[in-house]
Order: sequence, then C-alpha cells, then structure tokens
Amino acid sequence: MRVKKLFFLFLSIIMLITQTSCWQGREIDARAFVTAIAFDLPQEQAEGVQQFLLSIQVPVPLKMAGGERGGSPEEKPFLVFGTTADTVIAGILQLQRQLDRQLFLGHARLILISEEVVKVFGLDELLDYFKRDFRIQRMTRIAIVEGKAKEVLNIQPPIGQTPSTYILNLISPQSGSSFNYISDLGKLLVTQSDEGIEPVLPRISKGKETALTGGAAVLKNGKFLGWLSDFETRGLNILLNEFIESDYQVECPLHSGEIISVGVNNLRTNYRLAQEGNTWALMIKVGGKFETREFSEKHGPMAKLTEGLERNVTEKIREELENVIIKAQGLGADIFGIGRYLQAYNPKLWKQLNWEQEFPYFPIKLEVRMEWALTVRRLGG
Amino acid sequence: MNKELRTLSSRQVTLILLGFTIGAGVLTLPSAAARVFGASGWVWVLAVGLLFTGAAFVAVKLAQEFPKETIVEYSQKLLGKPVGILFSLVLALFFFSFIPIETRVMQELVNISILPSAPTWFVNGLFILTMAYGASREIDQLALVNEILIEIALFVGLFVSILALQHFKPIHLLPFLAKDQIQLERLGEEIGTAFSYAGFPAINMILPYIRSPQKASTATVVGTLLVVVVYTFFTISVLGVFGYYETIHLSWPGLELAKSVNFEAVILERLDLILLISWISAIFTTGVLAYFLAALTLSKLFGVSKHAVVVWAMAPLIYYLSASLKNYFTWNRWGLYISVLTLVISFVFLPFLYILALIKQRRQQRGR
Repeated sequence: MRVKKLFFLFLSIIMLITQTSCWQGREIDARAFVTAIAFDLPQEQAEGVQQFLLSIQVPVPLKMAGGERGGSPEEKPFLVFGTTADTVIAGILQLQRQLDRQLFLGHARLILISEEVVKVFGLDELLDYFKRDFRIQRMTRIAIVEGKAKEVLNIQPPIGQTPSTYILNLISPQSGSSFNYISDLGKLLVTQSDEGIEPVLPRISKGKETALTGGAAVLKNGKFLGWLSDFETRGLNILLNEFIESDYQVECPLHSGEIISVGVNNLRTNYRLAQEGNTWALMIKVGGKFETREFSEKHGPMAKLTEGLERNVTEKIREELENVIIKAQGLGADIFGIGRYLQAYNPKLWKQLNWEQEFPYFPIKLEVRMEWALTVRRLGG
Repeated sequence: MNKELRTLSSRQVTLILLGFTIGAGVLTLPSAAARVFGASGWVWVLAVGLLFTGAAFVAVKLAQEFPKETIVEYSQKLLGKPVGILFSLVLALFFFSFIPIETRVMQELVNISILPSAPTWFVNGLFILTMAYGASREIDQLALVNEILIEIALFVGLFVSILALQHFKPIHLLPFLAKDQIQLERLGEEIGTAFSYAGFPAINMILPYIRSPQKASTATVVGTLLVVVVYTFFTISVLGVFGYYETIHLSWPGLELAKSVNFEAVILERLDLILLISWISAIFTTGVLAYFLAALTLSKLFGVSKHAVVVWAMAPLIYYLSASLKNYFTWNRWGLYISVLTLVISFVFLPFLYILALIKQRRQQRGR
C-alpha cells in the first residue's frame, strides 16, 4: 500500500513538472512571424557566384494596433528585410543575425517570386525548402512577379489590413476576378509532379501605389516560359473548369457600335477524344449562361435580341479560348492537362505519343454554346 | 473461464479490433499502395483488406473452437507442448513488435508538428509509461478507454478526409489498373502495407473475455471490414487529392491531406495539428492493446499470475528498442519485418491451427 502511495506521489510530481507547459516553450513575443517571402535577383552578382535576394516581411504588432500606442499612419506596420543567399536556409540564417526574435515561417502564407529569378534558378530550387519543412502549409499562395518581388512586399495596402493579407486576398478566390489564376503550393506541387500537365501561377506587378493582379505565368520543368494576358487567363480558367464569373462586352446585334455588357456566371467545360480516320482530336465543349447587365444604347433587353446576342457572346468566348489554346501550343506547355486526360482515358494512345512534340500540333476543336438566361429588372431604356 | 471475466460486449470487441489495427500504418499506407499499384492503389488496399478479412474469419472460428481458452493454451493442445510454447513465443513477439514502432512513430509525429526539440527520453519515456500504466489494467478498463479514443480519432480522420474532398479530382484515380503503373517487383519493399491490417489475431487472446463468444465471429468480421472501409476511403481521398505522382513522394500523406484542407474558421486553420493530436490517440490504442496482449501472452505462457508484472518488466526493453529505431527508414524496415510476421501468422499459422482443430474435433466425434 505504501509503495503504491509512493508511486502515485512520484507520478504526480512528474505530471506537475511536465504538464504545465510545452517542452522548450517559446513565448510569442520571442518570435518574429514571417508572413510573406520574396525572391529576386540581386542588383550585383559576384563573378562565378549565383545567388538570389531573399526578402521576408515581418509585421510589427505595436504599429498594427493603432490608437494611442499604435504607430502614426506614415509608419508602416511591417518590416521587410533582405539578404543574398544561395539557399533558403542560408538566407534565413543571415536574416536571423539581424533580429533579436526567432524567425518563424509557420505562418508564411505568401511566396512571391520574380520572373527573372525563376528564369535563372527555376522553381524547384527555390521551393525545395518549402516542400520539405513541415511547418509550411500547402495552402501558402505563390505568385510570379513582373518586376521586383521585394517592391510588392513593400506596398502599403490602401484599406487597413496587413500587406500580406492584402496581396493574399487579391490572388485568392475572394478577389472574385476571373483574370486571376488561383493556385497555391499544394496545387503547384500536384501539377508539377503530374505527367501531361504544366503548372501556371498567378501574376502580380507593382502599380503606382497598389499591387496589380491579372494574368498568369506559364512554367515548364520549373522554368518560366511566358505570360498569359488577363483575357487568356480568363480563357484558361474556363477550360480548366475553374471559372468563377466575369463580365464581357459585346456589340449589340441590332445596332452596330453599341455595347452590351453581359455577366457570365455559369460555365461548364467537357473534354472528349474523337478519332477521325487515323488522327485523334480533342473536342472541347463549353456551355453556359449569361445575363445582360448594361446597355450603352437606350433600349434594354428585347426578345428579338436573343439570337444575335447569344451568337455574339458565344463568339467572344470562343475567341478568348482559341487565343489561350494558340498561346499554350506556341509555348509548348500543356497547361490544360490534355496529356493528363489522354493518359487517364486512353492510356494506349498516350503511350504511343511523344507529348512534348505532339502537343503543339495536337488538334483541338472547340464547341461553344452560350444561352441568355433572362433575369430582367427593367425593360426598355 | 469464470463468468465474471466475460465482460466485453460485441461492440467493444469490434472497437478493440479497430483500435488495435488502426494506428501508425494508415498514415503511410496510401504512398506504399501507390508505389505498387499506381493510381489504382486503393484497389490494392481493398483487395489486401478483403484477404485479411478472410484470415480474420478463420482466426475467430479457431478461437470459437476453444471458447474458454486463449491461443496460448489451445496451441499447446493442438501442436504439443514444445511446439505450442514456441508458437506462443512467436505470437508474443508479434504483439510486442508493434510497441517500439508505434512509440517511435508517435515521437516522430510529436517532433515534426508539436514539440520540435523535445528529446527521445521525454516523449518516448512518457508515452511508454502511460502505455504501461494502461496495459497493466484489466481488459474491461482498456476496452472502455479504447472505445473513447478510437472513436475520437476516427471522427477527426473522417472529418479531415471529407473536407479534403474539395480538392478531389476523379481523373487522379485514372488510368484504372494501368500496366505501366503496377510495379509488382516493388511488392517486397512495400509489403509493409500488411502491417496496417495486423490487428485481428487479438481475437485469439480476448475471446475468453467476451460476454457472448458465439457473437465473436460477427464482431471480428465487422471490425476488420470497417478497417478495410476506413483504409480504402482514406487511400481514395489521398490519391484523388494528390494524384499518383505526388502521393508516392509523400512520407506522411495523411498529414499532407490535413495541411491542404481549407476550413474557413480561424480556430481550425491548422487542421493537421488537430488530426495529429487525435491520431496520437489511435497510436496509443494500438500501442496499449499490443502491450497488454504481449504481456498477457507471456504471463499465461510462464504462469505469472499478474500480467502487470510482465508489463513493467518490458518497459525498459521497449524504450531501448524505440530509441534504436533512429529514423524514418529504420522504422519502415522494422514495419517490413512485422508485416512478414503478420503474413505468416495470418495465412499460415492460424489456418493451420484451425485445420488441426477441425481434424481433432472430427476424431473426437468419431470416437464417440
């Protein structure tokens, strides 16, 4: 009995010591939370050495708070530090030497990579650390910057929020823009490792005072191939079934030179392989609905507009889709996953093809059909 | 067998089999399955699972032939004392082999996600002590603890898998059974999948503690089938979200699945941590039940009246072995050995004993 009591006493002491806190617990004010990371090429490069400029954005909690103790509106609520390095770990160690708080990357939600640095280093080398560190979330957003990535990190958001949240919102689904391609680290890794599909990442550039989004970077084997324009990106979103909603301007079928704005919010794309003689072709069928939102002429929706308006909207969308297909085939990057589709649904054919060589010439036939889903608040002018 | 010892309900038996079987193995199962069967890895998981369900049925039928005894006793009747003792030692080794590997996996999970710098002696030491305390209790108490913990773990696991379906793409599961993706030559390397199904021989030790032994076959088959359903659903989710090529590169596909889930509620932003914490419960149930069964087997074999003595005596050895499994590759190799042992016990030893039991029964009937 006594032994039992002693045992429980011993166990209680152990529990008292070990359960009160985490092992080597670190206070929150002893950490510097990195919210965004940027990669650029340094302005000067020593001969024979290839390094990148690694920048990190760290929020300053006191200046973010506002009020009496908060900073003045001129003071930025965040700091951006940068260093040149040849690996991410080396860069973090360099940056750590400037800070009295331990850098913590577990909350980093944004990685910005300049176009130049992707061309030189390639994505694989830059992102290797982020693929392997358990603290990095797969939902971390990645974008390619046209210009200097560090400059985008320094943008003060126009409406009160943290800068990384501002950029993050711009390239997230909540932006509601079909000109953006929505992606994250997880999606990039899946697309990169898959066969028969090449990854695409959203584009960001620095405006006068704000960040500008729209467009996308096409990548292949981790290297930058080229940009998709805003409209090509919208076409890509349709072809990937990732289209949210968007407005299109088409000519009024009854009055030449007059504009009708239509909202497209319900699109569906289907792929089908078809054989014509000895050649195979991919049939892409796009169907959807639109509604009229604005008329530049004094008339409003009219029944006699239906046929012509549907034709014009169909043609407008078809044109965008054709443009993005031509661009991708020109770049030699299957960003639609047609190869992946072939591999899944016709593995025999896939094995016979050298997709690298075949994709630029692979016949793709488009069939677009748009319907006017009439929701009318006001008839007439 | 004393009636008072028959305390386990059929539901508890099913949950014991779930608790013992579902542990660390499932976290790495989809990658191993994808490496052998490509995008159709889930077919491999399902097929192996159904084979093990058959083996579980044979095991419980064998146990029902001797409703008052554990396998330690009736194996000696069927095989003769020396061989029977040897068989029981192999069985004890089988149960025992789970404990260091589960402890080591638990340590790795704690180190990679919760306490990166916590040393082995602290994490493993506390885990082994907690398991030893649990395993030194009686089976009815263990069954109650197991009931709570495994249900929580399965609920969270299911929650994460369902949320991850937002990224699910059916095309990732195609081509179906493509010849160039099926790499049966890797079967030897990836036989570790068998380790994930290794729980059902527990029934041959716990049948004397079941309230209605005649219902044990249903409970066992239901338990094993539930494991098959959980594993298959989980593998389909992982392959559907990541695709075959990404899955084969992931060491912890379960955690990666949780990391890719976007749940718009701030408190649940880090779903991987919630999955991890609840999965430690699943690892604990596997560890503690294996610990209990290993100690029970040895205590019955050597006539030790209290199995708790054996439990505490094993603790230093478990600590030593868990600490010597120094990295991911080492404990994966250990998993391979357990898998080979699992296959031998499931598909050779237990069916052989059952055949012997049937022959013996017929002889007795003829004798009458």
